[in-house]
Amino acid sequence: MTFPNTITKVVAGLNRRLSQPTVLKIIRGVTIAAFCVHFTLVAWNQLPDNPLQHQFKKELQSYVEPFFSQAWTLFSPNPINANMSMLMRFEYEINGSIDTTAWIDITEPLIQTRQDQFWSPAQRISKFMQSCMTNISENHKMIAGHIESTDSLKADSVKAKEFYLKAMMNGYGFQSTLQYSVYVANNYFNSQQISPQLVKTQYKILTAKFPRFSKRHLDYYDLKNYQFSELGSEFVEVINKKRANG
Amino acid sequence: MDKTSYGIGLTFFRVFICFIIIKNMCFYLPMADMLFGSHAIFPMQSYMQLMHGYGLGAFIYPFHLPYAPQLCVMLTLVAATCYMLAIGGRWMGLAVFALIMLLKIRNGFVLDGSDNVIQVSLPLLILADNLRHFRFFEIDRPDKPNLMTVIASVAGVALMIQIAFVYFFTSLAKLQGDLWLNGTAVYYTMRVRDFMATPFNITLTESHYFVVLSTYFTLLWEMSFPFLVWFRQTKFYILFFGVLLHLGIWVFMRIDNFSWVMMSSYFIFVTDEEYRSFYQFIMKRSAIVYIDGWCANCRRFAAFVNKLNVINLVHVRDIRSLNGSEEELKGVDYTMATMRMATVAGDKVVYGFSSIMEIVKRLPLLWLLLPIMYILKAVRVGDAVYGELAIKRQIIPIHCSESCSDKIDK
Repeated sequence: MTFPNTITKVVAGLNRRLSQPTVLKIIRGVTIAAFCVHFTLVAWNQLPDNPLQHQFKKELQSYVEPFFSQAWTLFSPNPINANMSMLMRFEYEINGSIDTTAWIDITEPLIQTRQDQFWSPAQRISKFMQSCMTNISENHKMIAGHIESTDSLKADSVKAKEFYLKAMMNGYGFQSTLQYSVYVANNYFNSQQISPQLVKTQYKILTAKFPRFSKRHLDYYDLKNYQFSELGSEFVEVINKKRANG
Repeated sequence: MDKTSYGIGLTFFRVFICFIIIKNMCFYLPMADMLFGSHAIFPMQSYMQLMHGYGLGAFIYPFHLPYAPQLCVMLTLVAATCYMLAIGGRWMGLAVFALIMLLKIRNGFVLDGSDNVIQVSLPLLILADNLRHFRFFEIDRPDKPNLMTVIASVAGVALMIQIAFVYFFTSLAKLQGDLWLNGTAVYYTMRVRDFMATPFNITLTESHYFVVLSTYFTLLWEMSFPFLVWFRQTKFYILFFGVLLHLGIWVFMRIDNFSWVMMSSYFIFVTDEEYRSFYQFIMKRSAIVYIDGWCANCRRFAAFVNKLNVINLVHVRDIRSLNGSEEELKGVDYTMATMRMATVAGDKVVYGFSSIMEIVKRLPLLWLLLPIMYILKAVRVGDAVYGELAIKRQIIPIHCSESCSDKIDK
């Protein structure tokens, strides 16, 4: 008897045994039980904050991440109710002289492309920018809240600022924005035919609140009817050809 | 035939989500370096940390190598195409899942809700009975239930539960929001610049009736879906309103992929038996059109109808080639039909402009013309114009020797 024949015989035998009605009933029961456990864990992780979820947060996360992670929070609990834009400017050095560009709105062209085309790759970059801005805003709130609730940081503004900057820089949103700024900077300087040795980026997230529901008859397109707020960063070095060359 | 079989719906879902993945990959390909490369907009270091954090260090794909991002995108594109055609079966599905997980971890920031639905549905879809139809290669199916068919039937239901989860948890989250509870949420979602797809969004949201009713409709519908989609009496209403909701979201807010993925998921809630009943119901609505084969314009019209006859609901016959027996004429007045085109639709026989209307009703590609045709019918212009054209048409029997049916088919 050859080895492949043995394998075929074993598989056929196994298949015959597994196809018996009693075995199939057991398999069906086990599969249903497995899915019940799966959906219980997923639902548990999805539920609004509750003590049991907090107690087993680590275990739940380790089960759902990364394969079963889900977030069905589009427009919830409350929808976005303001227009968010990201603006960037660059401080650059050429032959020892330092200059700063004007603010460049990087959100508007993406939205425009998205609105002009039904299916567009710009949607992905636009989604990316939205995620970055949301992440930065959430991190800002969280870090500012932590500083406010920690006496040692609250009392020492220098230490608090240092802590804030360090914590912000660790966020995915912040790091991704800096990475994206390199693309924006390269495009900008190429179009200006400038090749700076050193480039620093500063961004600001501009939040423009359009008229609220009670004032819905006000002109949507008139910026006088808007309320503006912003969240900005310091200049951060993103390109250094001196170091790269040296 | 198993009354609880969902093979047709699962096949539709497989084809649709593979199409969405293919479309996404086509978009990613020119931007592969920017999205997934070594200097991509999501830091490479963060990707490495995530992979190690998930215990997937052994599966780190070298995105930093030249053309590695493009290769990964291309592989996903090819795998999704193969899976769409059921080439490679469940293993190919698994490959698609592994590749989209890889891209997700590499740059999760570019992904949206539709990617999340695909990611959580795909493992269940792979296990479910989704490979029965739309196959590139046919296979012999086992007569008796076996290990895989048992798991597949449970996985199909699990996939439906997963879709119900999407709406259940999104409605639960919305119930915690003030704007959803006070009925003004739609005002803000439709006016945010990112989602304002048309200038009509402003006009529509100026009406407080529209804002409040659409907000509560969305909330109530999302809350009802997980409970009412399981019963035959309520299922089709809930799915129909779901299609309306997602079409509205797509048109007014340009949330495309998510709308399409969710709408395609509705196919899985319909059983094979229901699809067959629906098909038979539609086929019963087919019509027989009797045209004058001696008239060149009529033959051209018949050829045009045959081209647009995508669901095969119109069967064209040449009245001149029939022997005039009652069985063949199906109640059509032969003399009348030689003057005005006749259509037999169910029990009724109509002539002239009404005949054209019956044809257009059965050609989805021409449905946009129906409102105009109803107006023309109501003001009797349609019949008058048809009458003029019918009288002036040229009848040249010599052009068709014995039968014109071959020309009609062309």
